[in-house]
Amino acid sequence: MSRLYGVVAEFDSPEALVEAVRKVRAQGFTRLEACTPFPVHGLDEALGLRRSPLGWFALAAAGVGVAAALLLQWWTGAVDYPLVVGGKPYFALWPSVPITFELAVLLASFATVFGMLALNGLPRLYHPLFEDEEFRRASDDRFVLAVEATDPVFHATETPALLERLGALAVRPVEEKA
Amino acid sequence: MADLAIRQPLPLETPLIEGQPTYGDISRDVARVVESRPPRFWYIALAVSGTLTLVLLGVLTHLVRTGIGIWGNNQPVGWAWDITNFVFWIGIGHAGTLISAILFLFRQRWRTSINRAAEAMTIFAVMCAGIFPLMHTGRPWRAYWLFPIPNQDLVLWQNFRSPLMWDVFAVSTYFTVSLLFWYVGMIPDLATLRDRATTRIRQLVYGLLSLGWRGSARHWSHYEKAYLLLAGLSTPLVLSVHSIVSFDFAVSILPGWHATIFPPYFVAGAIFSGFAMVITLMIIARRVYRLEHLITMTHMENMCKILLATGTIVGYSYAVEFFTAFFSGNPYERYVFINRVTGPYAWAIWTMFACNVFAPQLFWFRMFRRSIPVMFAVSIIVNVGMWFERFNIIVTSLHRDFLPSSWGHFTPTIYDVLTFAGSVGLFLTLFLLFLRFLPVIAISEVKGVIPSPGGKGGH
Amino acid sequence: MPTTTSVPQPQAAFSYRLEESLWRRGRNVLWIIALAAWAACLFGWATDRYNFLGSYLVHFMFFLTIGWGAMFFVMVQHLTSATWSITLRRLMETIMITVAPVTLLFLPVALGLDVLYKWAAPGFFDPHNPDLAFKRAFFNPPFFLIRAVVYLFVWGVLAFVLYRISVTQDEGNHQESISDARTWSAPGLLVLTITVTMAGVDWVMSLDPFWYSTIFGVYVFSGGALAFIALLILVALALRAAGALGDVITVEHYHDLGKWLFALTVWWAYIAFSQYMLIWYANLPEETAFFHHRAEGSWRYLSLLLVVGHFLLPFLVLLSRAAKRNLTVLGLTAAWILVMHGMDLHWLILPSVHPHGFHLHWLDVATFAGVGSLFGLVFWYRLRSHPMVPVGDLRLAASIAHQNQ
Repeated sequence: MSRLYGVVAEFDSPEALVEAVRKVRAQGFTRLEACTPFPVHGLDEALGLRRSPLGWFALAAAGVGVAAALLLQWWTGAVDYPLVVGGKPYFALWPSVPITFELAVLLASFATVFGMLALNGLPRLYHPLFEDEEFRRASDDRFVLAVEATDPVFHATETPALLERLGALAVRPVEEKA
Repeated sequence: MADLAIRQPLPLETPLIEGQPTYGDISRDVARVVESRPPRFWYIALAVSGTLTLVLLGVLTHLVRTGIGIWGNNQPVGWAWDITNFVFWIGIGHAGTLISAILFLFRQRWRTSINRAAEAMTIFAVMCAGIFPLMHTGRPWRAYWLFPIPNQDLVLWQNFRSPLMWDVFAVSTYFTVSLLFWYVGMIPDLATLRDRATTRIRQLVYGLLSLGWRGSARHWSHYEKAYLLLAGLSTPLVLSVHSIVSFDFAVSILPGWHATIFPPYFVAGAIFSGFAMVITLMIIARRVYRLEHLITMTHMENMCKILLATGTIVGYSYAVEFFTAFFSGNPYERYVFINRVTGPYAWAIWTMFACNVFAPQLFWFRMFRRSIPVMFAVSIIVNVGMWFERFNIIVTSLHRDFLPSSWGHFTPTIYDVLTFAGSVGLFLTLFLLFLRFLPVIAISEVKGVIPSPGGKGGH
Repeated sequence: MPTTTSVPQPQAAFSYRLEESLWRRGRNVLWIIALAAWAACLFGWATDRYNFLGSYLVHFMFFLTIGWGAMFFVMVQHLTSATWSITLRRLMETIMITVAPVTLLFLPVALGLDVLYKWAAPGFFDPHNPDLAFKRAFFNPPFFLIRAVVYLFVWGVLAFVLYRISVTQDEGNHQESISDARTWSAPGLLVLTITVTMAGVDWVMSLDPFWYSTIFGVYVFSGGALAFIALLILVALALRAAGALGDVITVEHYHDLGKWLFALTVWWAYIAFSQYMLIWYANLPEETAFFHHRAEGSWRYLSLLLVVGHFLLPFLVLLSRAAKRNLTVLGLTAAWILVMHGMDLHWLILPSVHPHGFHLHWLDVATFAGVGSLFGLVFWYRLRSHPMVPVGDLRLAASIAHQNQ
């Protein structure tokens, strides 16, 4: 059993892809996926993507890191087992800075990387687009626009025709394994 | 405004990549390195470095069975080659993050050809560095005592007021974040390798490693933000790591160690030695794998300029330290510096001056910045010099304490030499394996800096 | 100074100049301030030389450190061939060229040497103490003044040459002036760093003749670089408000300047922290004396203000992308940082003059206005003599069109 996932159209330059995305969106398509071998500037705007919220993830994690590190150093050094070493106070802000900084950076980096993977829905080893043999060139030198069949404006014959008119090198339907 | 538009077209800069390759050419040229059988050079190099790695394993086994007395460390020179090697390797590990993060934030697009290999180098260098303090603890199987994990052996907590604890946090954070940065940067390229793979095993391995990356615009949007954030986090991190390493020395009251300039001075020295190592390795890699059109003379020349700049900063720090030693009016402080240039280890400091301050001055001349033999020689000289810098800081400050009754001398044993040589072997082995199995150049990033066939220039 | 006659589109270059009536008004205001302030300064010199010189040194250093920052950024700009900042380069250079009058403004310090510096008194360093031989040889008025002349000469030449090269570019020889600028910038940076370090030691650190810190030169330099970016933002915003350069210095450039402001705030804090923490930790009396003075009396509050105001507050504000792109917020932060830079110099210099506590003196206002108005006049006259953007630089269009990702 398989059903239609959508159609893919290949372009040979980032500019052609961005142009095609603009035109397709102007026709009212919303369920689009544009795959490129490197980040293409202007594509986010063309697709109407929102700014990534990752910065907030990192900031929150850094805050947790600061709090956790200060708490750890203060509680172990001044509360749980106070011990005079080298005539230093049990707890002081300045010598606590290095560990506090490191922990903030560590947690913020975790939040950034794992947040990025989560927002991208990765790892996801299977995707219908991988069914298309030629799709592999999207990580090499092709700029691919996929229009999903679930798009309300999708039409099994007219949509491929539209993509061809927009200058696609090739347009193919993609079947999804059920 | 209108008139200004007429006065383009400009870019006076020479193209970053030579020979006007297409996107496909770049994928092919980089993937070729991992897809074809390695050249004979690779096998020979691996045999040598692998042997040295076995030596390292042997020495460390002997060390664990016997104790660190097999090294030449003594009273008063309690830190010697081990800590010298630690600081040396950590320093080398700084260029990778510098290139990936700081040059990224400064929009230095030439970094794209070299950042991947430099990041790999960072990770391997930090691994080598970690060996030394771990072994120096004497009981490496108790290493978990360094982390605040409640356990049965210890009734008290780690002393977080000690810079050695700061080091534990700094180095392990640095290793983790560098690894994440490196891996995240590699995901799109691993997907390229997956899509080009012709054997089942390659498809499987690269498929798993690339996590199902499709390069969709949504992916790239979050990915670029993540990359920017990691760059922003790594930049202060890389400064902090070597600053904290310098705190190991500078918080003490030992003349020659206690200097407020230590943090920025160590950071500059780390970048300096790291870039020297990148130059050494890239000269070999671009030649062996014929990547001269991707890692061009412009890249090499830029690295030489950074070497000159950081070498001069290091020279500035030496000068400030010597000046302050005399300026301070502190007889102990003054003595240490006189002892450094005239005492029993004077040969070491003069080697250091010659290698670190004088050798890079050749790069004031374009002729030398564009000569592969000269830069190869200078890069190795600089690494030797930077090793001696740490040796000088550690051994000459320790060997003559405040009172002549606690003066001593340090002579390395064969085990000191073998441990260091072994760590070089481990470093090279890991680097050779990286060359063999992972994309040595950031494919997707280089594609972003070449002109598009659509005709509007790079991005 | 007649220029731009051979620029292909002189009418375009003309639009990068200030409106003449506006310029005249500015000039008149600056002259009035200068005359009034210098009259007050002369009065202060005659009646209260001790307080005058303390305040004067603070404000002299305030503007001088900004000039160092400008020189530093102009040279770094040439060496890295950064594109985004080309459109700001002439403003940077116009701030840089204000370093030229320093030669004259150093005179009061030179004349008041014995009032300001304890070591200037004959026999201050015990002649029988061999440990002080270096200090005796180094800190005596003749050698001190010779060094000062060298620094001032070096800065004057550097500022002048870099400025000259840039304005020649307006006349059309693009490639040649770029390579000239690079040739001067690499050794120039080295010489600047050395002279700045030495001047920091001579003019500021030696106020406490027995204290030393190897990072001191870097500390003074970092503060100057930060204050320079803050001033650059304010100058650009003021010109924008006056209807000039609004179309060539866009929010994208302010965003990048904001990033620099943020980075240098962190860098300054890093240097300050390194100095303080290492001295705190080692706890050697000869070193802690410096911070001990600054924890006494009301100096303590100034020390705390610097931690919060010079680092924490701008750090938190500038963390946000929106704040860096909001010109009001960015302008207020820049102004605040300039005030903090002034406080930083108060904190460095004045505990030697007023050991018991921080207090503002009327002479602080007079010397600030006096030194500032002269720097301002040089800036103002230079601003009119050449287009306010480097019109001859072929990278200018790309710079104006710059976009942040």
